Amino acid sequence: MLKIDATLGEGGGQVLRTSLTLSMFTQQPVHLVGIRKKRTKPGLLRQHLTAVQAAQTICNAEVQGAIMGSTELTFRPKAVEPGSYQFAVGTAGSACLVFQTLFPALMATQKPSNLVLEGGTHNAFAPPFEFLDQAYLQRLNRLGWACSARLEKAGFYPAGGGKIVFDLQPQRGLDLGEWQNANWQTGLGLAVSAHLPASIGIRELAVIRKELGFDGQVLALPSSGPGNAVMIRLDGSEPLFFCSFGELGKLAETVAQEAVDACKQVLLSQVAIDEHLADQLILPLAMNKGGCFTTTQPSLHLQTQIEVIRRFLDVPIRFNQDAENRFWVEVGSI
Amino acid sequence: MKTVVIGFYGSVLDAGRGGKRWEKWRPTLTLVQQEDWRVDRLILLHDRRHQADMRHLIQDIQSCAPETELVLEELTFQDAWDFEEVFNGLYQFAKSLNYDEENESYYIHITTGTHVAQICLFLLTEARYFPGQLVQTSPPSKKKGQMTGLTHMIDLDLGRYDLIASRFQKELEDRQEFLKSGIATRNQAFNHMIEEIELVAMRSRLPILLMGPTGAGKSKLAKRLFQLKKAKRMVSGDFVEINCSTIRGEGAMSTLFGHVRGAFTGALSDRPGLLRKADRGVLFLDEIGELGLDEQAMLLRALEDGRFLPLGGDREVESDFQLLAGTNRDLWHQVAEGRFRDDLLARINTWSFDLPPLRDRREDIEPNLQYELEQYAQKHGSYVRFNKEAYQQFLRFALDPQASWKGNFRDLNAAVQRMATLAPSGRINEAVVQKEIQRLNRHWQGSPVEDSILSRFLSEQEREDLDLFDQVQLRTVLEVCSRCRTLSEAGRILFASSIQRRASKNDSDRLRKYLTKFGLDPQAVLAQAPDPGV
Repeated sequence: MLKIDATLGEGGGQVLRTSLTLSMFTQQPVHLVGIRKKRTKPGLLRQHLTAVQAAQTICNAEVQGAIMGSTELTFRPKAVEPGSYQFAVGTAGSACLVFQTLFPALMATQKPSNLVLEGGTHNAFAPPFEFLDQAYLQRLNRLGWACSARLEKAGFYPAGGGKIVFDLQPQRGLDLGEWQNANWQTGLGLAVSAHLPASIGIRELAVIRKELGFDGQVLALPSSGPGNAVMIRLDGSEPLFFCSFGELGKLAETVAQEAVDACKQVLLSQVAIDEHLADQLILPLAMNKGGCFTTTQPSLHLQTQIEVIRRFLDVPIRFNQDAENRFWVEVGSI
Repeated sequence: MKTVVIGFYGSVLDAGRGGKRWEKWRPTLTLVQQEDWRVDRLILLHDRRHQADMRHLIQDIQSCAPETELVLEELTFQDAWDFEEVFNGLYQFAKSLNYDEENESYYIHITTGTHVAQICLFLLTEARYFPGQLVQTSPPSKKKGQMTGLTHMIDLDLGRYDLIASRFQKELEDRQEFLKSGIATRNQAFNHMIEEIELVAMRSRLPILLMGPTGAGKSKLAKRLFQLKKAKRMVSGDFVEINCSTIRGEGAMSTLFGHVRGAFTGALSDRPGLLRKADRGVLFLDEIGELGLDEQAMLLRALEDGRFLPLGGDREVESDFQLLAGTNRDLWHQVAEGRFRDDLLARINTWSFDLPPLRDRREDIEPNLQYELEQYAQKHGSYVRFNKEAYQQFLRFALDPQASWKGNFRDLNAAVQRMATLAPSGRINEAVVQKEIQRLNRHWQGSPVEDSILSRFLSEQEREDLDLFDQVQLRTVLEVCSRCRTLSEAGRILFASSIQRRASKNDSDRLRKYLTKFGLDPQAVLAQAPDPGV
C-alpha cells in the first residue's frame, strides 16, 4: 500500500484531498500519516471527514481512521460508481473543495454523473463558485471534462447552507490543456453580497474601477446568512478570477484591494494562469498525461500538488523560468 | 461513537432574526459550529411559548450542521425559576430517555436556560441521571479574530484532571498515613487493609468491626478513624470509648444506655450513658464479645432505630452515633455457643477488618520501632538512640520467627519504654538489649490468658522473679481458684486424683500454704473476691 507522509508541502487538507482523488483514479490504496499534524487543531476536521466520506461513498472504499481528529487514514478504493450524489458540508466548509475531490474521479469513469453539494460556496482559502464554474470548469472542457454548474444558493461563513448542482457529461477529449498566452483584453468587477447593505459592493467596485479601469456589477445572492466577496474577472479565451472575501470589521476598500493586487500581478507577469488556478489545473493535466501553462512563481500549494501527484502517477512535470515572475509548467512529454 | 447534546433553547441568547443575528453570539448554534466536534444529535428542550421564535435557530442549525439530527422536545414550565418544578420536569425527562452509552456520548449544555435550569441540569448530571459530561459554550473572542464561539467540556469525573487528581491522591495518602500514625508500614496486606478502611471511613456511617489480637492496635486505629472523620467534618460529636469487659453485670446497662433518677437504689440523678454521649460522634466498644446478652439486645435496637430505653425510663431517647467495635474473640464461635446474638453480629459485621498480629507483620517492626522511639522522645523531651550493634541485635531478635510478639504492639511499646528508661545517657547498648530480650522471652513463655491471671495477682517484678517451673504451676492453681468460691472447693479440684488415697483431706490448708508462699492472699484469689484490676 502507498504510504504518504501528509506533512509534506503545505501539510494541510490539500494533501488529503488530492490523495483521495488519485487513490480513486489509480485504484491504489493509500495510507496517510501525519494528516494536518502541525495545525492548531490537528487531524481530520468536520469538512475533511465529509470529503473522506463523500469519496468513500462514490467508490465504496474501505476506510480506517475516519474519525474526528485522526491524523491517520487508510483508504482502499473500489471502482468509482458514476451516478447521482448529494453531500452536505458542515461548519460552512467549502462545497467547492469537496467537488474538486470527487470531480476528476467521476470524470475518469467516462459516464455522466450528477452532484449536489451543500455547504460553503464562497469561502476564503477555497475557490468560490464563479471561479470554479468559469475559470476551472470552462478550461477543463477542452479535456473533454464537460460539466455545468448552477449555484442555487450561496453559502458564506459562518452560516453555510449554500447549494450547487453539478451536471457531469464526460466527452472525448478535444484538445490538450495548453494555456500560454496572456491575451487579457478587458475585465469586470463583481461584488457578491447577501444580507448586507449594497453600499459595501459599490465601494468595492469603486476601488476596482479606479485601479484597473474595469466596470462592475453588484450581485445580491440568495443565502442563509450574510456574506460578501469581491471578484475581478479577467477576460480572454477563458476568464481568470481574482477573489477576496469580506469579513466583519474589514474595510470594503481593503477587501477589494487584495483582489486588485492579485490581478495586477498576473497582468504584470504576463502569465496565462494565476497562482490558485495553477494548483487546481495541474491535477487534471497530470491525469490526462499532458498539458502546459504559464504562471507566476510556483506556490507551495502547487509544489505540494506535484509532490502528491508524483507518488501516484508516473508523469513528468517540469518548470522553466523565462522571465522574472513567469514560469512554464509542462506536464507529460509534449 | 455518536455525540448527543441535550440543552435548552435560550429564549434570549439563542433568539434573533434577520441578517444581524449572525453577528450575535448564539450558544446553541455554537455547539454545531465547531470544526473539530460534530454533534450527531441535538435534543433541544424548549418552552411551547418559544416555538415561533425558535424557527430561525432551527434553520441556522440545519444550515451550519447538515450532519446534525435535531430533536425538538417540548418542556414547558409555569415558572422556569421554580426549582422544584424545573427539577421535577428535568428529572422526568432524564428518566424518559433511552441511553445507549456503548455507542453514544452525552453532553449536557448548561449555557442556556434559567440559572435554576442550569443548576438542575448540573445536579442531574452529577447524580448521573444524565449519563454524560457538561458542555459550556462561550462567545468568540473578537480580538483573536474568532468568528464562532467556543465549547468547553466539563467532565465531572474529577479523577480525570491531573491537577485535581494529584491533589486528591495527596489527601488520600495523607489520610492513609494518618491512620497508620505516620508509620511507614511495609506489610502489603496491612497497607491494603488501611486503604480499604480509609475508603469505608470516608464513605460510610455503618458499623465497623475491628478484629485482631490484643495489642494489634484496634483501639488506636478506632481513635484515628474518629479523628479523621472529625477533621473532615463527617462527625461533630465526641469519641466515646469503653472496654466491654470492664462493664459486666448490673452496671453495664446503665453505663451504656444511661438511667433515669430513681431507677435503682443509688440512682440519685439522671445519667446519660455512653451511647448518648456519643451522639453525632463515634462509639468504640472494645471487646464487644464480652457484652451481656441484654446489653446486646438493647444495642441492636439502638443501631437499628437510633433509639433505646434508658434504665428505669419510660420514654425512648435518641442517639445518632457510628459504632466501631473491637474484638479479639471469634464472634462466630460465640454465636454458635449462644453467647453472642447473630443478628447483632450481622449488623456490626458490614465492614470487618482483621488486624494482623505483629508476628505476621515482621517487616513493620522496624518502622514501628522508630515510631516508638520518636514517641518516647516526644513524651520525655529527649531522644534515645540505639548504638549500632545493639540495634542490630534487637532487630535480629525481633524479626526472628521465634519471637512470638504475643502482646503485639503493646509488647513493642513496653520494650522500647523499658530500654529507653534503662539506657545509660540516652544510649541503648547491647547490655540493655540483652536484658530486654531475656525479659521478652520470659514474658512470652506462657499463654496470654494465663499471663493475665498471673499479672492480676503479682507485680511485674514478682513475676520476673518466678522460675518457669513455678509460673506454670501457679497459673493453673490461680485459674482454678478464680472459678471457686472456697479454698476447699478449689482443693477438691486441684487434688482430685490423690484425694481418695490420702488420709488427710485438708487440701484447703495445703492450698493456703502454697499461695502464701508466693505472698498471695488466699481469700483474694477466689471467685467472689473483689477484682483488684478494676
